[in-house]
Amino acid sequence: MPTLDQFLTLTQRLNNPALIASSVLLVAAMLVFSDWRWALFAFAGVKVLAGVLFLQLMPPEWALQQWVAGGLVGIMWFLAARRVDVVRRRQLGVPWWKPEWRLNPSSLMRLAFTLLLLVLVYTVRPYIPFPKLPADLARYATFLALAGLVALGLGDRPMRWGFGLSLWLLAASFSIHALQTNVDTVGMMAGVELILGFAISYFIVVDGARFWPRPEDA
Amino acid sequence: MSLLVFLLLALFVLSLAAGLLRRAPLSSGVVAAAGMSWLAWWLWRLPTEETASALGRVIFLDQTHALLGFTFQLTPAARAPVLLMLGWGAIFVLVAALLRVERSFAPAIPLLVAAFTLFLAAQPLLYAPFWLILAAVLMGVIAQGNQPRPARAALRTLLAPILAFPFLLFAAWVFSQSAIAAEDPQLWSSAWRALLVGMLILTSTVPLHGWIVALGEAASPFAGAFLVGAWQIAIYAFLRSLLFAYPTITEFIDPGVWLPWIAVVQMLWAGAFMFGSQRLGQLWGYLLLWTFGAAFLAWGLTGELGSEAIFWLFMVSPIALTLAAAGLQSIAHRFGENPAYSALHGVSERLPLSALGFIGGGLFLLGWPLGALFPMRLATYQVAAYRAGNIFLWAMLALTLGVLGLIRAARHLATPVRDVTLQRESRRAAWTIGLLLLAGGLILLNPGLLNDVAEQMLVWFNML
Repeated sequence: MPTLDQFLTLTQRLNNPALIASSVLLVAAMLVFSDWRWALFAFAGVKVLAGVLFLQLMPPEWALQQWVAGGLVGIMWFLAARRVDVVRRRQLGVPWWKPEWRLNPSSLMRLAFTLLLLVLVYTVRPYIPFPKLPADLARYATFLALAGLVALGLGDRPMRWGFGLSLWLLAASFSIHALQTNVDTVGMMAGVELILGFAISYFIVVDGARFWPRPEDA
Repeated sequence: MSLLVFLLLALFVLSLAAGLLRRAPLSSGVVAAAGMSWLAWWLWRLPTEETASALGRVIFLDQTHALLGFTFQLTPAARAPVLLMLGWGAIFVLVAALLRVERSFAPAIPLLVAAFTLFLAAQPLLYAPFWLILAAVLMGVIAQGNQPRPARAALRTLLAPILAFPFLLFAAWVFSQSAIAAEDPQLWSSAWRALLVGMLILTSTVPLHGWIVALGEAASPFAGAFLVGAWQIAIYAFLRSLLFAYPTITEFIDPGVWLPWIAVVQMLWAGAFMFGSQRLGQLWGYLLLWTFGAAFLAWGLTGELGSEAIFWLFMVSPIALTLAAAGLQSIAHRFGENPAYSALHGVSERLPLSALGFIGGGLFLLGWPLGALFPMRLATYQVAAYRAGNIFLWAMLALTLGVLGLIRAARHLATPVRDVTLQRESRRAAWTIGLLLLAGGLILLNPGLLNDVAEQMLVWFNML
C-alpha cells in the first residue's frame, strides 16, 4: 500500500489529457449503464480521477476530500441499491451475479443522448472560461456540467438523478475551488455532496421498493 | 438562550412529540398544530426589548451564533416569514390530521419549518442556500411520504437549490473582491449575471417549474400544497433580502420588469395545462403552479407596496389551499392517487362536499368572487390593467384557461355513479370542508380582518 506521498509522486506522472479522457469515458458509462453496479463503479472512477485533477488547484489533503465525500456517497448508494436489488432478485429468483443488461427503448435513448453529447464535446469543444481555472480543466468542468444536465433529462430514477446532480456539483467545485480554497468552501461543497448522497440513498430505497413483487415479505 | 435556538429546539421537540404519537394520527396532528400555533402566537407577541421570556427561560432576541463560517440570527426581517410558515404549518397539519393523511406528515412539518428558519437566519446571504439544500432534502422526504411510490416529485425538489447554489457562490466570491469592479469589469458583470441566474432558478421559472407539477401529481395533496407554499415564502423573503443587499442588480435587469413576466408565463403555462389535464393530480399540480405565479405577479407589479399584498395573500391562501386539498384527498381515498378523469364516476353524488371543496377551492385560488382571495386577486388584476396592459391580457387568458380547466374537471366529477358500492364521504371530511368554506367566507366578508397582521409583518420585514 503506497503512502500518500508515494501516491502523489505517482500521480504526477499522469498527465491531464489522459486523466480527463478516462474520466469522460467513465462519465459516459455512468449515464448509459442500466446495471447499477457498473454505473456506481464508473461513478467511483470519476470521483477518484477528479480527486487527482483537484491536486492542481489545492493542497492534497483538501483535493482528496473528493475521495472521502465520493466514497461515503458511493457506499450510501451501494447499500441502498443493494438492499432494493437483493430483495427484488430473491423474490424473482434471479441470482445476484447476473448482470442486468436491458436493451429496451430507454437504454437506447440513454445511449443515443450520451453519444450525442460525446460527439458534441469532441466536435464543438464547448468551453466556459471559468476565471482562474486552467483551460483544460475549464473544458472538463463544462463537460461535467453538460453531462450532469443530460443525466437529469434521462429519466426519473433516483440514482441517475444522483449522478446528474453530483456531476453538476463536481463541475461547480472546479470553478469555485479555482477561486477560493479555504476550509469553509471546501467543507461546504463536500457537505452539499453528502446531503445529496443521503437524500438520494433514501429515495433509491423508497422508489425501488415499489418494484418488489411482494413488499410485505421483504 | 437565543431566539433562534429556542425556536429550533421547540420545533425539534414538537416533531419528536408528533413522531411518538404517529400511531394516533389525530393526536399527533393536534399536538403539532397546537405547538406551532403557540409558537406563532408567542413570536407575534414578542416585545421590542432585547430579551423576552418563554417557559421560564430568558430569551435573548439579538443574540448571534457563529457556526461553519455562518452567522445565525433570527432578525425581525426573518421573523415574518417564519411566523407565516408556523401559521401555515399549524393549519395544514390540523386539517391533514382530521382527514387522516400520511402519518409522517405531522412530525415532518415542524422539522421543515426549522430547516427554513435556519436558512432565513443564515448570513452571509449568498452562502445561505446551503441550508436551503437541507430544507429541499426534507421537502423531498415529505413529498415521498412514508410509502413506496415514484420518487419523481422528491427528486425534482432537489433541483432548484442545487442548480442555483454554484451561481450564488461565484457571485459571492466576486463581490467579496472589492478591486475586481475596476480591474476586470467583464468578470464583475458576469457575477451580476450569475446572481440573476441563481435568483431565476430559485423562482422556479418555466421550464424549471416541474417540481411543483410533480408534487401535485405524485405527493399527497396536503404535502404538495404546503411544500410549494413554504418554498415560496422562503424564496420570497430571500430574494427580497438579496434585492435590498445588492440593489445594483436593478442596473442589469429591473425585477419590476422580469418578475411579472416570469409570473405571468408560469400562470399561462399552468392555465394551458390545467385546461388539458387528464388527471386530478395533474390539475392540482398546475393549479399550484398558477397560484405560485399569481403571488409573484402581485409582488412584481406593485413593487414595495406588493409586500403587504403578498403577505396578505400568504396569510389567506392556506384556507383555499387546504379546502381544495381536503376535497382532493377525500376523492383520492376512494379513487386512488392521481385518478384519471375517465375513472371518476359518481363523485358529486357520493362525495358532494369533497367535489365542492376541490372545485370551489380551486376557483377561490384563481380569485373567484365568492372566495377569500378575491379582493387581492382583483386588486392585482386592476394594477396590471393600469400599469401593464400586456401582462393584464395574458393574466386574463391564464385565468380563463384555469377556470375552463376546473369546469372540465367538474363535468367529470358530475358523471353518474357506476359502482353502487362506492362509499359516501366521511362525516369528518364533510365537516372539515364545511368549516373551511365558512372560514373562507368570513375572510371574504371582512377582508380587513388580517390587515393589522400584514402591516405589522411588513414593519418587521422592512427592518433589514
